[in-house]
Amino acid sequence: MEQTKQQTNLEEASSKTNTKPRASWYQSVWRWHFYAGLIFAPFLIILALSGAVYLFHPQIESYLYHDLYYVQEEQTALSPTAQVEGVKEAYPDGTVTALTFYDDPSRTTEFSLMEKGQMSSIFVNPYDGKVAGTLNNEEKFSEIFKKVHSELFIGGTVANRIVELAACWAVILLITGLYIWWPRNKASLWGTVLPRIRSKGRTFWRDLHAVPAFWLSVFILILIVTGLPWSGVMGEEINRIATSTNTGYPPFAQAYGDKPESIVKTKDVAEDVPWATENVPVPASTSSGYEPLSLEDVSYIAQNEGIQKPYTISMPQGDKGVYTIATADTKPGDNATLHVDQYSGALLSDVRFEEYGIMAKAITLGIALHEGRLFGIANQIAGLMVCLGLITLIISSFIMWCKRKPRQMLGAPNQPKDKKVTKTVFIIMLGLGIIMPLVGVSIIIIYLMDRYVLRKVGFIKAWLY
Amino acid sequence: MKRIFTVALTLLSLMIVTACTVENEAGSSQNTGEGPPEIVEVDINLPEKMAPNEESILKAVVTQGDEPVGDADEVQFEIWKANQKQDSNLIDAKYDKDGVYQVKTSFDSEGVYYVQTHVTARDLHVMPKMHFVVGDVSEEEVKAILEKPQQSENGTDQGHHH
Repeated sequence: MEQTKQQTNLEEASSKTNTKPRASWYQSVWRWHFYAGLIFAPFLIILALSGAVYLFHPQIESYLYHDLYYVQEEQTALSPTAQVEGVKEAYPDGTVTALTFYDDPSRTTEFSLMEKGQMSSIFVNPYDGKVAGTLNNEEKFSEIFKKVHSELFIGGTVANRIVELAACWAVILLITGLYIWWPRNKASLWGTVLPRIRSKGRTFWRDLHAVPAFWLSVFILILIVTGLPWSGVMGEEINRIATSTNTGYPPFAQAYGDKPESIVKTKDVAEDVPWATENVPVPASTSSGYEPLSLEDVSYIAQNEGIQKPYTISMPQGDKGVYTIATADTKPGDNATLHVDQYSGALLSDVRFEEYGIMAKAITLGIALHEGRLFGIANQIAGLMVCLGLITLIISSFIMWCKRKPRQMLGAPNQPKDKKVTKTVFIIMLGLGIIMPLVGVSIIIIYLMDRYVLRKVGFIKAWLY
Repeated sequence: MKRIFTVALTLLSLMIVTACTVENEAGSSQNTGEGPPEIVEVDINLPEKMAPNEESILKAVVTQGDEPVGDADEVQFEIWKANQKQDSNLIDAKYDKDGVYQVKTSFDSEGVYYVQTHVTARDLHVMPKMHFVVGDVSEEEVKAILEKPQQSENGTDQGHHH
C-alpha cells in the first residue's frame, strides 16, 4: 500500500517536472544508472569481496601456510643446486621450472614444479634440503581469490571479459551517479556530503548510498583504472599504446646481442615477471660447447646486479633458453627483469624500474597500489575501506530500490519526455563506449535487444520499462 | 543550469579520456637514448691434450663485438675436478695480446675437470664454464662422471666470488 503511494508520488513529481529539459536529463541519466546498477551490482559485490580478501593474502597465507613457509634458521644453508637435487629426488618425474628466494632467512625456498601437467610449489628447507610441504597452484589461497577476482572463479575468457565489463560499467555508474548526486537546488551539506542519518525510509537509504558513493568515487575510480592493465581488452590496448609511444619497457631491452629467431615473450618463459616487462622479447643463449651455469652462479649474478629478494629464477627452456631473474611483487622501484645467457652468464637483457617509460612506471605503481603493497599496511587498509564502502553502497542502493519497487514491475525510472535528451545521453554513452570497447559493444547489444526483442514481448515490456 | 551539468559531465569524461593521452605525450620524448653496450664474449681455448703433472696453458679470448678486449678489469680461471667444486682453485690470468688472457697450471691426477672463467670487462661480467679431460680417460668414463649430479658442497658457495 505504502509502496503504491510512493510510486504515485514519484510519478506525479516526475510528470510535473518532465516538461523541463533539466528534468529530462536527470531522468535519462538516472535510467542509465538504474539499469546498469541492477545488472552489474552482483559482479561488483563479488569483485569487492574477493578483492578485500586478496589484499591481505600475504598475512593470511603466512598464517595458513606457516609450516610450509617457515623453518628454524641455522648457520649455513645448502647451495641452490643441492636444494634442487633434493626436489628432483623427491619428485623424479617432475621438472623444476623456477625457484624463489625470500629475504627472510627463516623462509623456505620455493620451487615451482611441473609434474604431469600440474604446476605446484615445493617448499624446501634451505638448511637441510628437506621438503617442508607442497601446494598445488590452483589450491593456493591467493590463486583462488585471484581467480574469483579476475575470472569469477569460473575461469576462461568469457568470465574475464565479464569482469572487465563490470569494471568499465562501474565507471559509467560513477559518472552517472555523480551527475544524479550533484546538488541541484540550494546546496546543502546534508544529503550531499553528510548523510541525513536521522531521517527514515528512502531518504536514509538514499543518503547511505549517495553520500559514501560521492566520498569514495575518486578511490573507486583509482581502483578500477589501476586494475584495467590486467584486463583482456583494455589491458592489451594500454600495452599496445605504451609500446608504440615508447612509454612501456625501454626499446633497447630487445636490442641486446643477437636478435632471437622467433619472438618469445618473457611471460611465456618466466614466473613472477613485472607487468611492464611481460612482453619483452626473450633473447637466446649462444650454445657453443659450454656447460650451463649452476644456480649458484645465477644467484651470484642476481646478487652482483643488486636484485632485491624475493626474486625468482626461471630455468632455461631448451639449449637456447635463458635464465630469467625477475622480481615484481614487492616495492615497484625494485622491479627487475634479467635474461641471462645460460652458458656464459652474460646479461642479454636487463630492464629495471628506472628504465621504464613513464606509462610503464605509472602502471607499475598503480598495480602495486591496487594490490595494496605500495605503502604497506596503510595501503591494505585503504583498499579494504574502499571495498567495504562499495559493498555498503551497493546494499543501500538495493534497499532503496526495494522500497520504491512496485510489486508487479521493475520500478525503473520513467522515460523522459524529451526524446532529444534521451538521444544525446545515448550518444554520450556511446562515446564512453569507444574508450571502453566492451561497454560500447554491450550498449549496442542492449540497444538491439531493446528495440527488436524486449519491447515486442508484452509481459516483459510491462515489467521492464 | 543545464549547461553547467553538461560542462561538468564533459569535463569528467574528458579527464578520463586524456588521463592516458597526456601521459603518452609526456613520455614519448624519453628513452630514445642509445642502446646498451654490446655483450662481452669469452672463448675458452684449451690444449688438445693435457697430461697430469705437466704444465698446460689455458687461454680465454675476450671480445666485444668483433673487437678484442685488452683492458679487462679482471680475468680469473676457476678450476676444479668434477665433483670437487669445494676444492676449486682460483688463478688470476695474465694478458698476452689480441684479447687473449692465459694461465699456466698443472694437474696432479687424471680425470675430468671443469674450468670456469670469471671475466669482468667494460662493466660486464661473464663466466662461461666447460669440462675437459686430463690424461687418458675413456669416453664412457667421462660420460659416467658427467652424468652424476654435480654434488655441491654444503654451504652457500659464494666463497670463490669476489
